[in-house]
Amino acid sequence: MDNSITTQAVTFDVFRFNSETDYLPYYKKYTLEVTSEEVVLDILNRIKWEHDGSFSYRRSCRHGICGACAIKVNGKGVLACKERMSDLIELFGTSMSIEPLSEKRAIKDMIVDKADFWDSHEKVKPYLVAQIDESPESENLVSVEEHEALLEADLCIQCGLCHYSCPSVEINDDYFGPAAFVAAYRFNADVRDSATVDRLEQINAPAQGVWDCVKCFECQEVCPKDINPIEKITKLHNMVFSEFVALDNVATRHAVGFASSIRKHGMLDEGELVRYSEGTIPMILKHGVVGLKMLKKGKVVPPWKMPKSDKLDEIQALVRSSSTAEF
Amino acid sequence: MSIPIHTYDAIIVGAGLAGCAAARELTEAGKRVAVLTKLHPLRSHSGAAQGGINAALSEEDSIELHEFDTVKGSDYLADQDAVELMCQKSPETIRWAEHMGAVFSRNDDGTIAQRPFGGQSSPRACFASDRTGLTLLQTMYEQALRSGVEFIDEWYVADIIYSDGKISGVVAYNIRNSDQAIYNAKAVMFATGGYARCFKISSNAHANTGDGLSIVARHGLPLEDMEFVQFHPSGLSGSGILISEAARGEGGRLLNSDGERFMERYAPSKLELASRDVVSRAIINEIREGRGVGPRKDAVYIDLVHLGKDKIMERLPELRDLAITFLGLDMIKEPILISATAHYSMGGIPVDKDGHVRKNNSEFVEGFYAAGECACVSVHGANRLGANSVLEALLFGRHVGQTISNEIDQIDLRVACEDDAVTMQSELEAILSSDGTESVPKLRDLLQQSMTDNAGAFRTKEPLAKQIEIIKELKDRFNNIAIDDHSKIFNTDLQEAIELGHMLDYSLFIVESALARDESRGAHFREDFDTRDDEKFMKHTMAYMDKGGDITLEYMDVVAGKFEPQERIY
Amino acid sequence: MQDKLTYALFTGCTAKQSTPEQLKSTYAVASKLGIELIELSEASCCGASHLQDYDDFLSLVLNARNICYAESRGLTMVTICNTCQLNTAMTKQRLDSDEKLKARVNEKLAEVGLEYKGSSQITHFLYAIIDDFGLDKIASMVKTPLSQFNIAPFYGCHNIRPSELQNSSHRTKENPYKPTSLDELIVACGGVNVDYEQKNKCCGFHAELQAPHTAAVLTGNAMAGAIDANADWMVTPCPLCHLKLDTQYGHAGEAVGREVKMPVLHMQQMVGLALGCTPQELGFEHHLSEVDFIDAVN
Repeated sequence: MDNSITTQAVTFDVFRFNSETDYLPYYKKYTLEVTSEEVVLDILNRIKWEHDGSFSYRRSCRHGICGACAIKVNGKGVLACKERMSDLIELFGTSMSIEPLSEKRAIKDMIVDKADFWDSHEKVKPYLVAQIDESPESENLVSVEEHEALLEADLCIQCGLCHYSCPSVEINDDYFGPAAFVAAYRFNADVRDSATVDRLEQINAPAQGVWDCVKCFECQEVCPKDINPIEKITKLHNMVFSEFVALDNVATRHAVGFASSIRKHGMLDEGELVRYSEGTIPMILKHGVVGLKMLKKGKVVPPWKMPKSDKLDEIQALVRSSSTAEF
Repeated sequence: MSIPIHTYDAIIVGAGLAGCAAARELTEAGKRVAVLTKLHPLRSHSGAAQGGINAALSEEDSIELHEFDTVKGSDYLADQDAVELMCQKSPETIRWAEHMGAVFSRNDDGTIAQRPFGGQSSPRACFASDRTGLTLLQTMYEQALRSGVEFIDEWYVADIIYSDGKISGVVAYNIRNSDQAIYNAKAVMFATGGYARCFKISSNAHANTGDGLSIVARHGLPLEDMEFVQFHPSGLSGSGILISEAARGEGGRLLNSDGERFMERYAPSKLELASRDVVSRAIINEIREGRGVGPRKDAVYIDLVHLGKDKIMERLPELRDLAITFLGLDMIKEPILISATAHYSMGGIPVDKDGHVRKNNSEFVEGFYAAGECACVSVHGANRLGANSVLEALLFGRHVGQTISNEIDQIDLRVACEDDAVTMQSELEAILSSDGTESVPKLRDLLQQSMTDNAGAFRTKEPLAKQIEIIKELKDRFNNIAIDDHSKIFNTDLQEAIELGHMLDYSLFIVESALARDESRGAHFREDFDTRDDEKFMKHTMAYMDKGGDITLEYMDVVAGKFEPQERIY
Repeated sequence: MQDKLTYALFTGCTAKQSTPEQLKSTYAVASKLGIELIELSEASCCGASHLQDYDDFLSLVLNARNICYAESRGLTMVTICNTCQLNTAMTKQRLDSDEKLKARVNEKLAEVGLEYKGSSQITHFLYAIIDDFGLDKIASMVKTPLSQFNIAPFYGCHNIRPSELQNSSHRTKENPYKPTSLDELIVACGGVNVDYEQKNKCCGFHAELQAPHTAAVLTGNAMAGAIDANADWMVTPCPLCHLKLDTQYGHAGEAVGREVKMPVLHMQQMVGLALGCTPQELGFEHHLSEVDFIDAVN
């Protein structure tokens, strides 16, 4: 920083759209001299203040805590006020697109309709459920370990970056999305809360719940607060079993099936996993045609030829000694 | 134009800590309440508070010490009845927040952890790592949501309905689509936040444009102690973004270009943990005398390297992140660059300790309440202590919510009519139809730069007088603006223009009040009157704006109490 | 080259069952490059991130055990499946950064006479050959350049995200929003790399059973993206992506409302083709989508 401040020209292709007047979005090019000190929000401000006052975006705190200014730069979700231009130039060079979090939800330029995000958030009971003492004389005692069990989930600023980077959200409107799961985890992990089972039943529901996570890790990659949403999704999966709210369905059997397979073979028995998860008849109906083709191409191992790990007894001993879940 | 009129028991403007806390109290009491905010509630600036929230919880500490530190910190301008109420209720308030779900950092025995802060006799700041405001705001919002509070977000409140000493609602428009509405209510509470956005180097959010204050002032109602703006010692060089006092509380050392720990000269006993105004002036003085550092030589170092990686990652992770983002400097490895930044508004809408808005020194406005940074209770007087601001917002937000719910049944609803919206409608129309030559960003920049130059941490008569002329000129030029955006949806261009109008109005209050106060007290430092003058100025400034935009000043007595004024030494 | 490159190969389950061509081509390429692969025949399934959903601790113990067998041979573990890479490397990261957790896991491993130490690196074959062998050297060994083909790289999630973990497993610094290693490998093989939006996106494999529609749309989008970018075929370092793209194009096409069939190669097959391996050595007979274009190569 004692070094001098440098500048370089960067070209921005900026998504422009006003749902009141435009039938389709369009892109407008701006070339700006960018200094080594600037963040993306500085660029948005300069476009608005120096070039076109109608350019619109949400922003408030300027330092990464209010969560208002999430957008995408070259497809990478960023909190505009916390993303250094110099880092983006290093990643992408000096030509960048600036787009809203979700184009299909764009209302005006960078501003998107986040109703689906807030709806999902509200559905997981995002508050401590407890009898509240309105004039307490002492606090609840919470040990350091219990406090750490939140895994920083309480740091989520509801910016929506993970939600609108999640491919499942993009495809399935009912899917709660990573941020809502982080909220569910934050309260489920709180020793002061008493609605864990309620929330688990909610997030365990087919199509909208945690089982529709595709495990792409986009949420972890994009989170500007390093909250690691998928870690919380995994924890919720674990809680579904540990709190005995697991339903006997394809999703849970898919997870449990790995344990049974490993116990038997050390390795996964792919065919058996699918059969166990889906049931024999649904499996044939759904995968019969492809399955036959795979069989013909030598891609299906018959049960009697199922390979087994060496030292299988060792694996079996560990499965016996180290299992922590039941179904 | 026909405009819908919605009727509620109470309308709250602003959804930060104070607004959410009050709304929850009213809803729990069965009152029909709506909270209007120009943001989403979770974007409110309360969430940006980093370091802590004060309460005398430990055995070594006491309520009386908290009161004393607050009054001393205020340079004896705080009203002691309000300070007493705040300090007495603070342990209960913090524990209540904890019971609601706030995620405080903990001691090994499971109790709420506390850290030292400037100007305090004892480690008193309860904290949640370095994101105390965030956990409190989220908790209040969450529990308000749980109680069923109605939030009406992204609505811009442009006016109050006020006449004959009584308020009967607000006038607002929907930022999403420009729909207008009147919110008619028996009670209105303002919780609209601070006004330090009128300075160039500021820690405040873009939203902190003080709209609430000038909306009130435009009706001829007073604003109190507007000259008292706190300059926080540690803003990041260049941006002014805040590095919490926790950095000094945890042991940060300030160094100048000679590597000297210069606070030894300014506050030999408390060093970096002297009161904020003292440390800020020391920093600015070092820079003015040529001992600044950084590419612009406009900063000093704060050195935290000796704390070690573990402590920094546990106690100050957000701060570290901010310095990396905005300076490219990692406080684990190297000192970072800071300087004073406009931070907190001690002044505001005058209220008594129960939140009643004053019409003048002796009368109140019926049905009108305020709490949080927009209000001047005054618990902070001339200088606020660190970790007392979130306390004020939360505690008085809740307290005023309770006051309203106790009083609301005795207030008659004055039925609103469409004409009540005329002021807002003509304000919007004037801006939208103005086809002048001036640009809003340009004028705003001129205002902010000149406020920092002429009405900042060091003040003297001539620059202040010059600043009055500058603001008046900018106001004239504001009548000749043109905006680019004429659309009905998310017209942030229009909103920025409205906000600039407010900033111009209340900035004049700051400067006129500062020019008249020929003394130095707390955050208000006059180089030409560098001592405190209790005889003449141990009084609150009450400033009024007339129809022509001119300011007249009156003074109001400070509420005395058990602490006699003494010299403030750290 | 100084010493012969030797790795402990964690084949994963898929290579032994539904993608035999991947195992064949891995060995074929290793042999061409003079890399020795010592198979971890004791290894169990990595849990594929699903065992982790059911029993996280058990998955840690099992993955730690797998790593022990690389450690006992004093070798870097090389994976040929993105998901194996993720789960194994993540286990290593969690154990290496948490002494208490490591002790809990080692307590269990001790029962079978093993100890996790953290001494072996874990890297995917793609990065092993780039980091340790070198793209230039591969390029210099190319016998039949793939210059007539537009090749669409499909990276797969678990090799590039989370980038903090992945970039600590190998020296090549990959930008998860604009990965380049596979593109560079295509170029090294003489091919033309195709840029398209979905190259770093998810194929949906892990939700195939419980969220078939989501999974099918993701596959469809990926293949449509490659087709629209004029790719002749796709290439991937992940056998799970390969399975999805090579066998599920029917469902995928229905989900996105257009035909999306296209040949998909394992990254080892592409390298093998360029290095002059025969189609039999590379296991092309196991593909569901037609791969007759390889006739043009040989």
